[in-house]
Amino acid sequence: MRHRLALLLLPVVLLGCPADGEPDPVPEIIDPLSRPAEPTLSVDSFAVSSACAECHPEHAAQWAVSSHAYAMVDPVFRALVEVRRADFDGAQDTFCLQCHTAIGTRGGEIVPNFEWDELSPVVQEGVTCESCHKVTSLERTWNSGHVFDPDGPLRGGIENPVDSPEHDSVYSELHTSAAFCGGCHDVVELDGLNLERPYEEWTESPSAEAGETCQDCHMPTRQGPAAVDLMTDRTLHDHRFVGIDIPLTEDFAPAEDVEELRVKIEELLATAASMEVTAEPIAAGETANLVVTVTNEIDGHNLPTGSTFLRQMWLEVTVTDADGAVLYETGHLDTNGDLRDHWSDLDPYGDPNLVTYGSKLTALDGSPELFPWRANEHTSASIPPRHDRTSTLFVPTTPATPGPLQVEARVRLRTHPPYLLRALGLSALIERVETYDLAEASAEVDLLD
Amino acid sequence: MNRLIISILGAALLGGCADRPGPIADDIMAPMGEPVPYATAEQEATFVRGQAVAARRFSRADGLGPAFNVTFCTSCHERPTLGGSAGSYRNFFIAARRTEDGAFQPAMSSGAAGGVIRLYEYGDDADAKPYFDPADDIVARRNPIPFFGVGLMAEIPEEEILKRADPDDRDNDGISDRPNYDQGFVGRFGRKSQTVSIEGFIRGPLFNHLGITTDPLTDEEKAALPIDSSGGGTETAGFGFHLIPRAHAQVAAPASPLTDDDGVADPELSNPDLFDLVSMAMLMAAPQVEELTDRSRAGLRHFDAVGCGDCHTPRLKGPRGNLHIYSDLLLHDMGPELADGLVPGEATGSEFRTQPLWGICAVGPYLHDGRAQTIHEAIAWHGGEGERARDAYLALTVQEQAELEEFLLTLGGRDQYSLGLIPPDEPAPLEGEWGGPLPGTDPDRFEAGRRLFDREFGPADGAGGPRLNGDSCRACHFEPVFGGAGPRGVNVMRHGILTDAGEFAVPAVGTILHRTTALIGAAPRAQPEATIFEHRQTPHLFGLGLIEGIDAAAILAAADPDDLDGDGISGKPSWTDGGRLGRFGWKAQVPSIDEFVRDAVTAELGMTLPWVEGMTFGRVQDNDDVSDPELTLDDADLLGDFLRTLAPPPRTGGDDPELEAAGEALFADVGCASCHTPSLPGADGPVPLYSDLLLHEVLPEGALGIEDASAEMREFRTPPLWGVAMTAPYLHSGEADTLEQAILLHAGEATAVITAFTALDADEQAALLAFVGSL
Repeated sequence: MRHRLALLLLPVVLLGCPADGEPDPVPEIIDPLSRPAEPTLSVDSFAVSSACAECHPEHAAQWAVSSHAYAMVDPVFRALVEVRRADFDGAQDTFCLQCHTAIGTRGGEIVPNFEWDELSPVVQEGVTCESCHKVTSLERTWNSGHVFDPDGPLRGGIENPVDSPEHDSVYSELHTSAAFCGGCHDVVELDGLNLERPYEEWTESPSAEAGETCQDCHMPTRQGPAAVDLMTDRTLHDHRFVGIDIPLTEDFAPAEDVEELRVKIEELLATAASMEVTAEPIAAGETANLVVTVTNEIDGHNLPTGSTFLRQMWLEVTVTDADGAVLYETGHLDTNGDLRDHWSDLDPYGDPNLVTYGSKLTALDGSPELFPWRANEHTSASIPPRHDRTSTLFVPTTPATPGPLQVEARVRLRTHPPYLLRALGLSALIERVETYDLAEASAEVDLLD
Repeated sequence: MNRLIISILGAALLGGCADRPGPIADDIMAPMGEPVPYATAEQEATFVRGQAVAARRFSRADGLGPAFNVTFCTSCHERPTLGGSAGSYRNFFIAARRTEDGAFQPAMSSGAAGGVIRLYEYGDDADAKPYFDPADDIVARRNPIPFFGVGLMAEIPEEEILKRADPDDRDNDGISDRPNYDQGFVGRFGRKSQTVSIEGFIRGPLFNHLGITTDPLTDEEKAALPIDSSGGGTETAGFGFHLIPRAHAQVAAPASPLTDDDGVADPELSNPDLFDLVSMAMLMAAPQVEELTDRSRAGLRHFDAVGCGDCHTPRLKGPRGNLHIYSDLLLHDMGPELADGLVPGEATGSEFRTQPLWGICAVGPYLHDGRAQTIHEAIAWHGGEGERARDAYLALTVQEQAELEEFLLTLGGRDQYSLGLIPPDEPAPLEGEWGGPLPGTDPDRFEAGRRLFDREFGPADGAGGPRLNGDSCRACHFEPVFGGAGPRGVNVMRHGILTDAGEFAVPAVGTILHRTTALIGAAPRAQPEATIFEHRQTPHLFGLGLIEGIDAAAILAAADPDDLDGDGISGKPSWTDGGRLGRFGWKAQVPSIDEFVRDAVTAELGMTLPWVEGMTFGRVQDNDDVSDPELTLDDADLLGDFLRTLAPPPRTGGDDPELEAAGEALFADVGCASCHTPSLPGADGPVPLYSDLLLHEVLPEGALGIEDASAEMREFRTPPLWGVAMTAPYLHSGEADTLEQAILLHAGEATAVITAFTALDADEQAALLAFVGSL
C-alpha cells in the first residue's frame, strides 16, 4: 500500500475556513517539490530544444512530433486548464502544469492566471529535453515527482558517455527505469482521487515481473551515433514516445512526420487487444446469448490507460438476420459522433446495452462528471494487462427471423469523444480525432427449427 | 452467543492501577456490555430487559419507518458487543444547507429527522429510496458512537466540565476548550457534545434511524430511572457518601411525543420498553482497564509528553469518584482536516467533542466519520488544535508510537476485540444446527471460513474504494445466525434510469446505489436521471453448495420461456456473463458460488480480487489507494468453501405434522409448487429447496424494476423457500413482514395461484402457511 495520507494532509491543511460574510479567495495549492510557493529553480538554466537539436537533430525531430512537445500546445489541454482556472480563479493553475511544464511551474512562471503567450520559450515547449535530462532523482512516482539539478550535467541512459564540449554527460540508471516515467504518468487529484495510473498498473503487471519497462515499448531502440560528429554507435531510443495520440492541431508538426507517427501508433495497437464472440445455436424466437470476450494483450498496463476518463473504448456489435435486416446493434454513434450514453445530446441512453472499457467520473450529486477536479468518484472499467472482460449480449429474435444470424463485432478506441471537444469549444477538432479498431470478430448463430 | 464466559475472564483482570493518572472510582468498571457493578438486582433485571429492547427487530407492523436506516438499535451498537459502535458499513449521513440568509437548515429525508439521511422507505406513494435534495450540500458522515459509561458521564457535575473550559484560550496553550449546551445544560453526548439527556439521545435515533415513535417518559418514570431525571432535590449515591444533585441535567429530555404516518399507532415503543432501554444505557459500565506493564507505562509517558492529555483529560470527577474517561467533554477546533460543517448548539463546523478513550481498543473505526481504521490513522488525522500533539506523535519513533498505542489498548476492551463480531473463543456451530456445516466437512476449514466471513475489512484493506454496502460478509448475512439473511436495514438499494424509449439504462456507477463510501466526501447519491429504485433483501446463504450441485439439465428441463404448455407460467433460464446458467441472486444473475463471492466482495465490500480464468464477476482493479488485489485468492476460495459447506436450514416444523401435511397438499393443489418446485436432483440426491431456479414475471403489469443479466424488470428467480420461517422479511424488496403478506404480493404469472390461495378457507390458508413455515 502506498501511503498517501501524509501527502493528502499537506494540501488540505492549507485550505482556510471561509470567514463569515465575505467569500475568501481560493487558496493556492502548494507542494514543496512540484508546486512551490516560491520558485525553486530558474527557467533560464534550461536550454530550448533548438539548442539541443544542433547536435541531436534526430532526437529533437522525433520529440517535436511527440505528445511531450505537444504538452503545452495541445488545445484540449489548454481548454481544460481554462475550465479549471474559471472554477478556482486560477488558484489551481499549477496542478496540471506541474507535469506539463515542470520547469515553468517550479521556475515561477506558472502562477495564478498566467498568460500562455507570455511564457518563456522553454516553458512553452512543455516536457522538453531538459525536463527529463536534468532530472537527478525521484521523490515520488506520481504528480511530478522528479528532482532537478538545473546546473548539473545532462543525464540519460547511455553508459560511459563521451566528453562533450557542450555539456557534461552522466549515465543515469534512473532514466532507464519505469519509475522515471511514473514521476508524471501517475496522477492523483488534490482530493486524493486517483486519475491516471499507468505506472501503478505497471508495478503489478507481467511486464514488471519480467523486468520490462515503459521505455521498452514506448521508446524502441536502434543503433546509431548519439550526436552529430560522433563515430561510435550507441543504443538510441525513439523520442516520439508513441502511444495513441496524434496532434490535433494541423500546424504542430510536418504532415509526413505525423503520418509516420500514425503508422507507429497503428503498429503498436495492432497487438493491443484480441476478442472472441461465441453464441450457442437457438430456436427462432428465443434470445441469442452473444458471449463477447475482450482481452488486453498488453503486458505493461491497462487497456485503456492514462487519462481513461477522457478516452473512449467500447464494444460495437451489429447482428443481422439472413436477409440482412439489423436485429441488434450497440456501440454505434449518433450523428454528432457520440456514443448514445449519458453524454449524447441527440439520443441520451439510447444504447442501454453499451459496453465501455474506460472510466467514469461521478460528481457529488451522483451525476456523471466531465472534469476530474469536480468529481467525487472515479470508477474504472479498463482491463488490466493480460486480463479479459466477458460480456453477454442478449439478442432477441422472433419466430419469423430467418437464420443464420450474422454477428460483426469490434473493439474501438478513440482519443477524444466529440462531446468533450464540443464542451470545450473545440468542435473544429472533432474530425481530426482518430478512432482505432483494436480487434474484430464475427460469428454466425444458427437458428434451429 | 455466550458472552458470559468472556466477562468472567475480563473481570479476572481487575486489579490495582498503580501509575495511572489518579485512582478510578470503585465499582464502575466491567467488561463492555455489562451493567455497572453498583446496579441493584432490580436494575440488573431492567438492564436485561433493556438489552432485549435494544436487540428487538422492528417490523413494519411494529411501526418501522416509513423511512428508516436500520431495524434495531444494536444494528449500530454491536461492536464488540451490545452498546458499542459498529463497522464502517453502519456509517450514516447528516446533511444540511445554508439558506440564503445564512441560516443552517438540516436536510429533510422523507420528513424531518434532524438532518439524518434515511436510506430506505416502503409505501405505495414513496420511492424505495427517500429523496436526497442536491441542495443539501453540507454532508457529514457519522460512525455510530459507543454507549459504554454514558450513565457515569451523565452524572458528572457541570462544574467539573466547565472548570476546564477556556473558550478564549487565556492560558495560551492553543486549545480553546469550549462547552456546548443543550437546553441550558452543559452538553456531553454526541460527536459535538450537543446532547445532555440520555432519554433524548435514545428517542432521537429511534425516530431518525428506525422511524420508531415514542412518548416522553412520565415524571414518575423519570424519577425511577437509575439516574433520577425528574428534577429537584438531591439524593445520595454509593454508600451514602456522595450527593448527586437531583436538579440534574437529565431533565433536559425533549418533552414532546413523536409521531409518524406509517399506519401504526403512536407511540410505537411503549413507555415501559423505553424506560428499560434508557435504564440500560444509564447502567452501562465503564470499560475495564488493564494493569499497566513496563511497555504501556512507557506509552503513558509518551501520551503525556505528546500532549494528548491536554484534551483527552485522563480523569473527570463524578459523584462516585474519578472516571477514567480520557476526555474533557469540551469542544475543540479540529481544523479543516476533520471539519464537517455541522453546527449543533454552540459548535462550529470544525469543532468536535473530545472522544472518550476508555474502551478505544474495541470500538473502531475511529473519528466522527469512521475514516480511521487504526488508532495510528486516527491520531494522524487530528488537525487544528490537535495539530501540535499530532505532529509530536508523528515525530516519535515507531517503537514509541507502538508503546503509546499499547497504553491506549489498556483502557479496556482488548479481550473482547476480534476482527469481526464472533467473540474470540466462541465455538463453531455443529452439524445440524443453524449455520452448521454439511456432514463430512473439515471443521477447521469451516471455522476458518466462518471467521473470515465475519471479518470486518476497512479502508486500509481496500474496502469501500470507492463505495461499500458491507464491511464484512456477516454485515448483511446474520439472521438468525451468521451465514443467514439480512434485516431490512441492510437491504441493497438498486437504481436505474428509464430512457425515453422506455428501456432500462444503468447509471454511471452501476445499478447498486451504495450506502456509504470510504472516500472522505459526500454520501453516494443517485444520479439525478435515475427514477427507478428497488430494495433488495439479503437472502440467506444456507445450502448454497447443494444448489450449486443441481444438474443444469434438470433446471433447463422445466424451462418454458414461451409458455408452450399454456399453463400461464413461463419459467425462463437466466443466462449470465459468459453464457453460463445463473442460479444465485434475486435475478439468478450469478452462475456459481465462486462468482457469487467475487461479485459480493467487489459490489458490496468494494474490494478487488485476483483475476481467474473464465470468471467474469468481481473487479480485479479499483481506484482506491490500496494495491490490488485486495483479497487474496486463498481467502476468496476459503469464503467459497465456507458457503459450499454451509448446510441447508434445518426444518423447523413438526409441531403439528397433520396440519403441515395438509398444507403440503394444498401447496401443490393451489399451484405454489409449479414454481417453488419441492426438490431438484443434486449431486448427492434430491435438494429440497422449493425453487425451480428459473425466472418468472411476478410483478404486476407496468411495474418498474432493475434489469440484470437476462432478467427483465418484472422477472425474478423463484426464491428457495427452505429456511423461510427464520429469515423474514420476504420478497426481493423485503416489503413483507409475514409469509401471508409475501404470498399475497405475488402478481404477474402467479396471479392464478394467488387467486386460488385466497379462495381457500381460513383453516386451509393456515395449514398452507404452517407448511411453508416448517421448511
